[in-house]
Amino acid sequence: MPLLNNTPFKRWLVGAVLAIGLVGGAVAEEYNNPRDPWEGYNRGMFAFNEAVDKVLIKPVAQGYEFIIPEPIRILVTNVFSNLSDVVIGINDLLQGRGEQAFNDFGRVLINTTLGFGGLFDVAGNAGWYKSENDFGVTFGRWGIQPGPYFVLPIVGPNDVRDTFGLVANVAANPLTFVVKDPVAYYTAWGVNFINLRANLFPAEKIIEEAATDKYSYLRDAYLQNRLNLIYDGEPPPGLGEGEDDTDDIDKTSKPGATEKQPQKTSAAPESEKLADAGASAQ
Amino acid sequence: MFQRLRRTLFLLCMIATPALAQANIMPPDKLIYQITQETYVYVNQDTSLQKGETTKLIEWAEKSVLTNFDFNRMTRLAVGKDWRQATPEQKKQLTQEFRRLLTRTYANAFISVNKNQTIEYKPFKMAGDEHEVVVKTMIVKPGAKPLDVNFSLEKGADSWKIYDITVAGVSLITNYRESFSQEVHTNGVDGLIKMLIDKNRQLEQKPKAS
Repeated sequence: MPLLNNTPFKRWLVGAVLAIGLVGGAVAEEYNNPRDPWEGYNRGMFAFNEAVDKVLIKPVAQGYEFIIPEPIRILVTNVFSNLSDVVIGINDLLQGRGEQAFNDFGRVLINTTLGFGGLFDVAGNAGWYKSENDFGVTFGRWGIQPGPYFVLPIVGPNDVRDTFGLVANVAANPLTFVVKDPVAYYTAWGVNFINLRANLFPAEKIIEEAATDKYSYLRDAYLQNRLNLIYDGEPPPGLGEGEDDTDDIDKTSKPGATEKQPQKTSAAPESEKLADAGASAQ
Repeated sequence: MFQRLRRTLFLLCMIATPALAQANIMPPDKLIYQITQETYVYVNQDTSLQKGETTKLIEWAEKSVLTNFDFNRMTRLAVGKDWRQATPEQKKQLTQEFRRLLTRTYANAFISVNKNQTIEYKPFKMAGDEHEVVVKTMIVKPGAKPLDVNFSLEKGADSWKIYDITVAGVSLITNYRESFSQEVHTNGVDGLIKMLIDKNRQLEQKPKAS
């Protein structure tokens, strides 16, 4: 995997992590979140990432968005999305979810052929929706604990488990097998990254305006989202950011509302989801 | 004799009225369908909204769909354990400011759902006596993973009320809990109120086009 062989980059990365860790570590921590024992370091790295985004990544993504017309950007998104579907399918299999793997590898097959090498999401338009899966989720389903929340340089929100997951995701991506030329390889990841960043513009405004503290808003959103993926849409109450504290609050004003066991209707199986595709709003 | 009949009739009415009202409550899935569609249509008929005129959508929502939200409960959920240490006046202020912030967030979020995205409604089943339900929808955008948006509702006296919205597993309410609790821990309940007031003021003063 070229990424790990690139020692100058790695050395720079380690340097940056250490430097920011030292700066961040000096910040006094009065309030301790059990999921975020490295909050001092994490906030430092978060501030660093925000700064790099502001001066470098965001302007490049804005330029990209300005120069490349939207239809082309959609094609770029589709090509990388098609490659990531391979990683998603592999993880479906590792988790023993055959039906889902069928859907996701089916998408790769259809989009690579009928969709001209993944340029068009033909499968998605036919109701074979893209799903979400990765090695971090697989490790979680295998029972590996997430460990502390961990902000990575540039990449951003993560936890220790998902950091290992990320390495596996990159290793399993077809780009890693197919593109041997290092320049082309890094260019491809670079384009993918900038394109992903440009796709985040709409969400960015929502988060900026919603968050009273952007760091903790993104952290808690990340942790909730990962938990949701590992539990396939039905995270148990009281775990992580669940409604664990609400019972005693409700008792004061709402007697009937204390039994908080959510109705276990369980996530609709894939076949149901597909059948329901006809019930589209428009 | 007439008196007895009258009393019987009166009693009958007493029994029948709540039952009738019960039957007239719009089921939660229908309610979600109605308000999401209403908002979707409103947002997409007006191009100025897609250019970021959030305030306009907020004004419209205040008059229409927002009556279906239980902002009291939302604030309680977001504040968590510290709610009990707040005075009634503080509770009122917290609810008022959190409502302003949430309304803006929902408006921003809804504006980002544009014409080439559609809302799909997942099958919904409910036992007759349930008081809390989750209605599941997803926003489907060509070429992207559908976004799960779930609405949690609680049965009130005369209608179902939304008390949480979850996007991709992230509760837009409990996601505030850590940051609120941290603020209360360092600056007290008044500190939290002040933080919300400042945040709202800053957002409302921002130029519309940003």
